[in-house]
Amino acid sequence: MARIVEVADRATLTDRAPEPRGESLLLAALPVLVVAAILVAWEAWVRIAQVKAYLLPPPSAIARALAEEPMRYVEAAAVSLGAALGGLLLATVGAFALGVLMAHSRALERALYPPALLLKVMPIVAVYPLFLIWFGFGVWPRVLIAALITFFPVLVNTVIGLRSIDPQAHDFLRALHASRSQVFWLLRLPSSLPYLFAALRISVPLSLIGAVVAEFLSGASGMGQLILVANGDFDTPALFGAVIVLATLGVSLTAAISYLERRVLDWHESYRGV
Amino acid sequence: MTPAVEVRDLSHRYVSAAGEVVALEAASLSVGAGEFVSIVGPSGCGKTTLLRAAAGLLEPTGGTVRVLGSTPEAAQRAHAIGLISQEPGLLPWRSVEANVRLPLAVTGEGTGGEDVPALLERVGIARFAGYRPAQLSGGMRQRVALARALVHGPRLLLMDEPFGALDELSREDLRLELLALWESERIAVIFVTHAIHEAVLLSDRVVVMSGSPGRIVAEVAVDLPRPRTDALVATPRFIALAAEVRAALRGTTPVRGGVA
Repeated sequence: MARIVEVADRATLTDRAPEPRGESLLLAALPVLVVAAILVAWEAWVRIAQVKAYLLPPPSAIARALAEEPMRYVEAAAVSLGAALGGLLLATVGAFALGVLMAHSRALERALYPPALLLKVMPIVAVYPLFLIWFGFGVWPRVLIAALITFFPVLVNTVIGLRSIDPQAHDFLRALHASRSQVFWLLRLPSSLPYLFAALRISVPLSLIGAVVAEFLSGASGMGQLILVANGDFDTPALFGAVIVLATLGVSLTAAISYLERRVLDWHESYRGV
Repeated sequence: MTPAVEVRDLSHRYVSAAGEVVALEAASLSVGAGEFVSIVGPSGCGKTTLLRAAAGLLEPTGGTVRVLGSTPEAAQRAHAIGLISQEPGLLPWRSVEANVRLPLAVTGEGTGGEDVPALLERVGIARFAGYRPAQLSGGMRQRVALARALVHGPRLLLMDEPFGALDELSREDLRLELLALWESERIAVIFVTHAIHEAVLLSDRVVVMSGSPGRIVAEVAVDLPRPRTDALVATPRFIALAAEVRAALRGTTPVRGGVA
């Protein structure tokens, strides 16, 4: 017995060789260097060619716009972020609940899939005026737009995830007379998590887009309104500032999801050994 | 004593878009309490169908299955069945120990029929209790599956080509450990396999099946002494028994024992 264990020990528990430290530092610094180079070239070109600021402001002007009124951006970003995350939460909870129903019954899936698909193909620009009529100019229409745009990816992935169970593990549980709810909690739900996270990675940037588009259409508040106002003023540096703030938000949210995913799915093939 | 498994005239047809397939026709088989019975046969002879019917995983289209004197479903409910498949079917997010404890999460018994650390020790995976299945070799994973199938103290162990996906050395080790475990537990085992030597080495009785439609063609009683070791494989008696099983599989020679 000891022999077997030893052999398995050597054969199966090999670690990946770590990358040399200097090399990995360089790899991490590379994108930063590329961005810095682009900024320097941009600044130089705008100054040398004397491009008008309302056409293309230099990076320094954008930085100044951001630095002069930081709270304007922070407040707008907070509003947009709230609507986006609120919508995402609403959609995730709703789509997951519906996905659980659909994964349990083919008949329900058949009945509910077409209406769900309808939600997906509905252009939000066309729906939004209706939402304004029904829910007023408050936060709800924006939250609902963000929810609408993120609902479908979560739903589809939930249904697939809950069905993607190891048939052998399922047989084992059935032979133990495990109840449907035991199979759900012990097997289906954990099996669906990689799919749920895949959906969230798609949905997080979508929710932000949904919220900003809604704000843009209503002009009520948030980053969408900031863009609308800056556009009306020909305030091109502020427009660029808005783009940078939104990009930063999107990247941060995606990074947060990735971090969470790595923590929760440390058992999954895609993260093994990371 | 009630037999562990009593199969009478079991038939099963799979209906698909392509037509009807008779997987099993009028198979009858009795497995005594504490008996080790192997089923050998070519692919598609219905041996897995028979095993799944005994596990209560499929409703046969004809005949009856009794497990421990009752229906397979009642045996499931009594947590009397342990199942091992060719793929271990472990839960990748659970540690080795948590995988072994899985049945206890279903049955709700506080500790179950087995002392888990002792069981891990006995199947040679105690050192890996905290590992995830993905960190183990195929042989080690199948040991985890074996421990998981035994932890709730079943009276019937159903094994569907459990070592089929392993390399020959791991197979040998696992066979001997299965023998050692079975000799101390003495629960009834139905062991489905392609390998004639494996069937003869492990079993009290080898049931031979043939395909299309799947049916039982012979039973060979294995009268080798226990406890068994690898050394038996070279004895004339073992070789004669293996030849008998092979002949029954080929359908060439009249068979001792006959059909039940």
